Amino acid sequence: MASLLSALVAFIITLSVLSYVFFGDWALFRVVMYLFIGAAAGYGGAVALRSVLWPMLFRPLIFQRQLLALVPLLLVALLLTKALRGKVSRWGNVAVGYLVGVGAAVAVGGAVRGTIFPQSVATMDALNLHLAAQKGISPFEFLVTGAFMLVGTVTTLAYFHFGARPQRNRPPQRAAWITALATVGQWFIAVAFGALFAGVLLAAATALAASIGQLWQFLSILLPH
Amino acid sequence: MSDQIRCPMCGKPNPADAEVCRYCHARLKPIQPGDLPQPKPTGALEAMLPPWIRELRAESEMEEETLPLPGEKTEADGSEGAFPEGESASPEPDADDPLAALWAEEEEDEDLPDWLKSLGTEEEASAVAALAEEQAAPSAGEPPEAAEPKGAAEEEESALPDWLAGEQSAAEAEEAVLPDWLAEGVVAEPAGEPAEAAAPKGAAEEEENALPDGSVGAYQPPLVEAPSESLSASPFVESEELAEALLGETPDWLQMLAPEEESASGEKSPAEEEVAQPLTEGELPSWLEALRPVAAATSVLATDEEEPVETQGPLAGLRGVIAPPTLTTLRPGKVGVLGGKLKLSDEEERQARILQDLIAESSRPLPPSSLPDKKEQKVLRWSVGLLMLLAAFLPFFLPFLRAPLPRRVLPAAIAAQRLIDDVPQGAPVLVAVDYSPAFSAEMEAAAAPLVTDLLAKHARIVAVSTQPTGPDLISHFFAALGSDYRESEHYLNLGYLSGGTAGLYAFARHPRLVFGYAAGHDRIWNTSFLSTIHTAADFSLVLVITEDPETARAWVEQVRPALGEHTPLLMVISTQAEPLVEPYYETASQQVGGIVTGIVGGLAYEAIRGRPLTAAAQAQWGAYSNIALMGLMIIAGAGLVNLVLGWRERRNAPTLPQDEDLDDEEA
Repeated sequence: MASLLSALVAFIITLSVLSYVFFGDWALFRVVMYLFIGAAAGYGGAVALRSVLWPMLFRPLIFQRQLLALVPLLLVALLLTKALRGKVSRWGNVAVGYLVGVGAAVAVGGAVRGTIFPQSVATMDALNLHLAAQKGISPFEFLVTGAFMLVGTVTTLAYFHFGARPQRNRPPQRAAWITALATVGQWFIAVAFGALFAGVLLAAATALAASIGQLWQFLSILLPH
Repeated sequence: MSDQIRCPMCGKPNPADAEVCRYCHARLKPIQPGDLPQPKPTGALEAMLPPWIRELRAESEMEEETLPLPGEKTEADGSEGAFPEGESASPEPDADDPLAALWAEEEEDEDLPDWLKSLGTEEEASAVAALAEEQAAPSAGEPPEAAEPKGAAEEEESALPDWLAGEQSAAEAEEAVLPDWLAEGVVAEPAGEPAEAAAPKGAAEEEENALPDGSVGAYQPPLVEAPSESLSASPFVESEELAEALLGETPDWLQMLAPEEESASGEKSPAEEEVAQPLTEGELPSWLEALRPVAAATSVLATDEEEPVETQGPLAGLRGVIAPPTLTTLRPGKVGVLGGKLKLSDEEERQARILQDLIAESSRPLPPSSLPDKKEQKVLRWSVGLLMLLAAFLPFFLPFLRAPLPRRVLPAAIAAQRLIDDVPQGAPVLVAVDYSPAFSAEMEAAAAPLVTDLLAKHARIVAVSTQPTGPDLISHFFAALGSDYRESEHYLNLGYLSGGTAGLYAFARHPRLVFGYAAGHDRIWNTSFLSTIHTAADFSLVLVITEDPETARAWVEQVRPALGEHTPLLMVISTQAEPLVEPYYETASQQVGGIVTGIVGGLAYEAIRGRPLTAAAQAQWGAYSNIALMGLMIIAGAGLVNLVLGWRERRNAPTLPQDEDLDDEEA
């Protein structure tokens, strides 16, 4: 019975969401959206209290007398002052500054070690035939793939190079060879955007197919076999 | 001429029986003594008077008791004008000391106001008046003889104000037309005699009654530009008109206060006493002081015959009292709306109309031609929606419409299959469920074959999520795999990992510190799932399930460096994240050991395994394929239609004239 009720609720909500295609932002769709937003906010707050604040802040502070937990408690108190008006809210900048500083340091360090350096090295090795033998692919295929990757990377970076030299009696313009590379890079960027759009469309198609599958599953329960 | 009289104010002729001038409304006939309003007993009003008036009256009465008779010369008299000519004001200088009188005269001259100094003694006044006449005569346009001395009458005339003197001089030939009261006044005045204080007093009352109101009120002391050191006489002696002016300026309320008995018995009214009372030069009444600027201004302005005469208000009958506006006093302001119609020719009107149309055309907003109307949008939306739903539902009803399963072998899926196979039996595996609920269908369909293989190997699966909704999605995911898989028995749900990238960084290196105090998980690190885990590198495999490329990049950047070479990173991603995650797999270092992308990747993995798909999975695959195909057809078809419509529209559009054509037309 519970599964049938949950299936019914899922069926109604799915139909309400799909009704946006035909009726736009009408009342039933908005009710479902508000319901989802409220449930998500409440669920997020409950998760934060149950999984973060209680086990990592209050419990060590209350039951285990860990005074080190006063530091995050102070940061929490300072962060809450951002919700107040007046000059008191400036105290929240301390906590925000701490968050931004730590987050930026971790992100920059990870990006340098995890993305920029490995990807740059991989691009440099795009034409390294020694790697072709390791991967077990033909040298021709490796060279074509590597060349395509190298040209795409270089020309795309050239497209985002906006430096220009000042010229006499003329507006500043990029160098001719940079302009040529940027033109080629523009095509690579267009292809990348097309791939991203196709991925988004296919992801939405998957979600729609899953919703249709749920509707069909509910209807198959009701309909006689 | 005898039946007309000339107005003493404006000089225009009026009928002899006219009471007032018909031009300036100045009174032509003076009010006779019998016509004066009789004062009424005001004893009952005494108590209502202000204190300062009563004090003033008391002081006047006290001074009246000590006031000498008219014509007497006393040392207490402060006004030199109260004495005949040659006698100076108190303090009386010593007769034996001629220098004392000289010093006293000089001191008085220094104390006198400028306008008072200009009046001087009689001889000086006469001489100055003659000089003034000489100066005023050319400017006033009077005949030359008017400036010549003509005896006593003319001397008296010199004591009159300029405007009155000029009027008299000009009207000597027509003296018969003057009013009687004015003629008598001119004849009766002693010519060349010093005006004594007593005599002016009596004459002043007569003159006050005889002169028209306008003349009394408008009297201005003569302002003569003469050396001030030569003028030291008081105007109260020489000019009776001044006394008249003083009486004329007496407020009505003060005249009303004068008791009838006093007037009848010859006692002086306060105003009269003020006139008769010898005043020192420094004790001028405030109201007289207030007259000085006006007198100075009007005396200058009154010399011009061209200046206008006031016809209304209290200044009626006065000439040149209000200065006409000059160019410097005019200020720019808003100009009134001018009437009339601009006369334009037909050609000008046509050109103006063209310009007006051009301006109106340029300011008119262009209709959004690129956007279809609402009805068209609604039809388009309904059509696309119906087509999509139809494409999605048909495979469920009609199995032959289901698309065939993919046969294509994906290298990334093969790499994923190898990594799964490399996981030892019962080894710890970290599974990150980092997708949002909206993508649960795609992610579960893609990740389910891999996790099923891990469960088949009895891998110790530890699930974690950086999404707040992750803990429930973990439970839902394993529940969808089958009811045989239970939490804490087949997998461990660590729950929500807070902190974002920093939390990932800390968890990869110190997982016990991050989840050491989790509620209900105090002893989890002693369980079989985590007993051997001190860092992320202790896991045999890390499987990340996400639809967000940023989340995938965070795992690669923060966790992958801590895994080492023996712990591969495997990813199950959405199709929308594939273009951004694929490079991490393509690198030589293989930051990501394998990738399973979306429902296609899951089916490819199943195809590699050789496992048959369930009917529901096949139907979902069919729906997915049809929706993707329908989307492709709609986009391609709409693109073609728009291409044709655009081509037809461009062909049917009127061709714009080229610049050369325009030049030819202009030529």
